[in-house]
Amino acid sequence: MELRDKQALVADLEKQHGERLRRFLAYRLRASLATDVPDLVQEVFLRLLRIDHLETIRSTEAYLFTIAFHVLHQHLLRRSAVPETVDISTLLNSMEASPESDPVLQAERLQHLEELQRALQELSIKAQAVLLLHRRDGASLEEIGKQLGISRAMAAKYLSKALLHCRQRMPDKERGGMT
Amino acid sequence: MNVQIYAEATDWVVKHRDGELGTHEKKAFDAWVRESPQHVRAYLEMSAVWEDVPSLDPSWNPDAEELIARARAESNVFSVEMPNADAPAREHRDMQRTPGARYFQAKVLYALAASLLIAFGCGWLLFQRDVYSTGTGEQRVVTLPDGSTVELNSRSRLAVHYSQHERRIDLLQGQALFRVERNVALPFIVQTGSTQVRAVGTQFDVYRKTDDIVVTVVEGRVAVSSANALPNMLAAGEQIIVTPATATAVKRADAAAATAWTRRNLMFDESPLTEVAFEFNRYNTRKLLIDSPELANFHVSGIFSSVDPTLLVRFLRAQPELVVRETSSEIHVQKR
Repeated sequence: MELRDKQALVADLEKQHGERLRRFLAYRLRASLATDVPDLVQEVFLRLLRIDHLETIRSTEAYLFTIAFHVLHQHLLRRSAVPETVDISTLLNSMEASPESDPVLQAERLQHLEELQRALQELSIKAQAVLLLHRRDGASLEEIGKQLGISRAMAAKYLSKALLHCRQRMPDKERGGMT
Repeated sequence: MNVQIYAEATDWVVKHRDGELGTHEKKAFDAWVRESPQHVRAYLEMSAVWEDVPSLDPSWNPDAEELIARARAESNVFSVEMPNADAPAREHRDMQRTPGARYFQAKVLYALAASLLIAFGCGWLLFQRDVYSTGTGEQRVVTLPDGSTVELNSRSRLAVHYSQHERRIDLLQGQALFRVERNVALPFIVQTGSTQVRAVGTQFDVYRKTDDIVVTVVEGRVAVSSANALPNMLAAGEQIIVTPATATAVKRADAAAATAWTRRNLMFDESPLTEVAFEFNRYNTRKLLIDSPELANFHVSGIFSSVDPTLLVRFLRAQPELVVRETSSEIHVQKR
């Protein structure tokens, strides 16, 4: 495939499925990360390196998510009897649906959200407000800045700070993970 | 966990979700993510946190109004040392030196330049925007550049301004039902008077009445903010009425009734006759006029065609308290 075509394909994929891809990864990554992380991440990293710089630069993030999706999908395939298909949207549909039908995954997800909530509550009210107004209520950083009487840049800092804190307070489930 | 790497990953996630990266930013991110598997992992994990936040149970946290009030109260107390008011900040590296901070500084300059341009270009922009309108009794569906659609009710007018950062619609008059294509990176904003309705991907109806603005959510969630009220979150089946003075509390509403107009129906539930006439006259050139002021207390319930007056006239004629007199241009209703 021509480089241009490939870039267009990935950009298109990201445009159509970007958010669903990210959500799917958020959903499934954690469950798989718990046991198979270093291998999976290593695989994603190596595949990314195999792609030429020039090719990825335009949309590194789209490539990253697409590769992560494929690696995770293959990993899940090895553990289940999901038939291999080529259409990413069919795949996303079938995989997005599964957590609801899988009580174990669902329980894990709820537990995870409760942990996230606890982490959130440790933050200052301002950091909480920025994160929730932006992610839950869909308010822009400008708008939040205006409402809270802070600059847009400051709102962005609070947002980063809040997200990072949430991750820091998540228990690392795998053994021998990174330190 | 290497906090430095995760902090960098977080800044990159925020930047990516905030809008299109510049060429240098793209190169920098490509180089960063290729540096090590830890970077890949941190980025994927931070993206996951980003996606998880909206899934939190809404009942676990205060609503937008309360969050803003409390955050403001806090800043009054800590205003002197505000940037350090956060306990977790002490664990972090100096945020000033992150690529994110530089990026946002650049963005502020950019925004300043942009606002100057806008100030100068305003007159020109007025002629650039796409304006759609409908006459009495006319309804039309407009498909927007991103695939979202707007169903425009009778005697309505709106202007479309799409940019790289947002999808903005000015509802200048009347009512419209918006079916918004999901795109978190590009907020969909309907501005009407001083009220703003913001969504990412959803279906909602905005009705600019003479003084009030009624927002009804059919599907998904929207945030409604206005000059004189704090933002309110509305979920599917909820409605808010913003008046010039204030905004009512969010209440449950019949979304089918609010969007009945799209099926060319008028739905009334114990509505005063004046309201019925007002609604009816939006669609018909032959006006319904209430001649007796005391009929303001006469209430009507039922579904009528918005374009064919026959059914409504027959209903009014059947009421023993009313006298209906029709001319070619008007329908008069009086108290018997």
